[in-house]
Amino acid sequence: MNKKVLLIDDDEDLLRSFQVTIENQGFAVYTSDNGTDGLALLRSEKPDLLVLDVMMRTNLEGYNLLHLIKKEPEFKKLPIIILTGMVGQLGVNLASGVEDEILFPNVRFQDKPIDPIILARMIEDILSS
Amino acid sequence: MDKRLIPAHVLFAKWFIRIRWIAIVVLIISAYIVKNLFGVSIQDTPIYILTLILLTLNSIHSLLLRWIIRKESGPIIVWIKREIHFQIITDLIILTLMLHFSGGIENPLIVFFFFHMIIASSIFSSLESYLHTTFALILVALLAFLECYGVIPHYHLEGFVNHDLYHNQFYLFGTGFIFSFTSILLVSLTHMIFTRSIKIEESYVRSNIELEKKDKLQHQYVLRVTHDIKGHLAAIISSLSVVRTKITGSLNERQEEFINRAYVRTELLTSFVKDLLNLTQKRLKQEKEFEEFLLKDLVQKVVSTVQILAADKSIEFNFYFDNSILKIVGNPFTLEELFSNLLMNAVKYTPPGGHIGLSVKNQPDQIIAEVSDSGIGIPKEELSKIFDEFYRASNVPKDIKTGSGLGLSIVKQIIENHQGRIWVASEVGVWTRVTFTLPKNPVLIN
Repeated sequence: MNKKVLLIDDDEDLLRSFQVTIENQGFAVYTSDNGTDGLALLRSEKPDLLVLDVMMRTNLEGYNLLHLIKKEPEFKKLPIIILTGMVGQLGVNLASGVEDEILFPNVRFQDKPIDPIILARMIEDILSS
Repeated sequence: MDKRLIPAHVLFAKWFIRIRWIAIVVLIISAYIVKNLFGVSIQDTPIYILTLILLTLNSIHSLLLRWIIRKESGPIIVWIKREIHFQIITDLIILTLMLHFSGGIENPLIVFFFFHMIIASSIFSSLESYLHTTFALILVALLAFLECYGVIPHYHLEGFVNHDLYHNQFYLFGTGFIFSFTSILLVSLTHMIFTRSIKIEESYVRSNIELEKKDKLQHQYVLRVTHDIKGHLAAIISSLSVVRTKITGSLNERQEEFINRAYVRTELLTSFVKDLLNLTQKRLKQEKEFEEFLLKDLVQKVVSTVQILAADKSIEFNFYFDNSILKIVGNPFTLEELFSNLLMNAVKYTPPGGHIGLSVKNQPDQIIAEVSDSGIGIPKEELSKIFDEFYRASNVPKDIKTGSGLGLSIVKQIIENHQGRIWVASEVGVWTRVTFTLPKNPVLIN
């Protein structure tokens, strides 16, 4: 069975190009343009990897979603790629915070914008290791 | 009144006290010289005693001022002004007594009263300065009157003024009139000049604050706009990438060519927008994320990346790091960006077979770093412009892909946020040398 990837990003065009590219690499892709639906999909589909844009403008902002996910023990080992415009300071501060507090061993930060093919290869790397 | 104007009053009060220390020394020396070298009959003992009193008073003023400055709250300006009032009053009394023991109204030192009138009218309201002037005139008149009618003794300046003038009513009236007239004129003139200059200074400070506010608003605007543009660009480049990687089916040669052209241009625009965003963020946000870290580790990390790039171009890389540099305070992320921006530039503009260098040296309170290369150089007349936004040197060959023209502006902003300095020297076609300093313990600006 194909491995499942969940993409949460509020930019529909971006979401679509990511989806097409990642599907092309042989993954089953689920998408959501908001946090609420994203969380529901996370619970129902139990993806193998989550790509999350933390700078969303919709109802459940990325960081809030991240904090909600951390509360559910079943997602402890879920690999997450966090897309952010500020990998520099904020990303690393957040990363260390995430590691101390949430104990997500598999959180990765990726500067935006990212070429979908590079994102797809990154997902491949994470899921094959 | 704006808080930024407080230091002016403090400086004034301090200056006043400092001048008085000098005056005390000059008084002692001149009393000695006048009496012993010129043989003028002044009452030196009372003058020395008065000098001693002045010395004590000045110490009190100095302590008082320090106590006021150390206060955290309250109407500091009002207290400092009161202290200066107190200084002037004690000065006028001491000066009158000094005059009494050195010839009274006959002593030309009477013009010393003018100094205090100028000082008073330069910082106080016109009412206050006229009150000080009136007080001074009353003291002088009292001195002249009491000496003239023999209520207090007159100490004649034997050897300096040869005729007794203190009981010549015509002389007293004339001198008194001219003295009072000059005083009033002086006060009104000084007051007018200083009121104007203070108004100018205040409006200068105010417009500066306004400018800073406008600057901030403009940066915030740029930040918003570029952030939005970046979002659109991300979507465009992603969509192009899908077609370009042929996920949607194969492309013919011409389709591929144009998709690639669009992709490359979008990529360039994206990096430009990212740089602009980066620069604007640094301008808006004064460094708040300073920490202590080992500079060597950071520089080493950048150097190892640059070494690979340099080797690819057969460029020799000379690296020197003074091992006595330990931890410094700063933002390690932006400093890493600083070193890597400058070194990448050096590699970029140096032809294959050339050499680049980085040396980081230790100084007592700062480090001084130098990035050098044997590259294309910068024309002399353009050296002053290279840190300007969007500036690109005119002598860059066409085959070198230039960036956003913001790289060095970002570098400069990082240096400024760390309170360092940066400068460049170059010879076209031969070498370029960028030197910068970074304080080891920069002060955080809120």
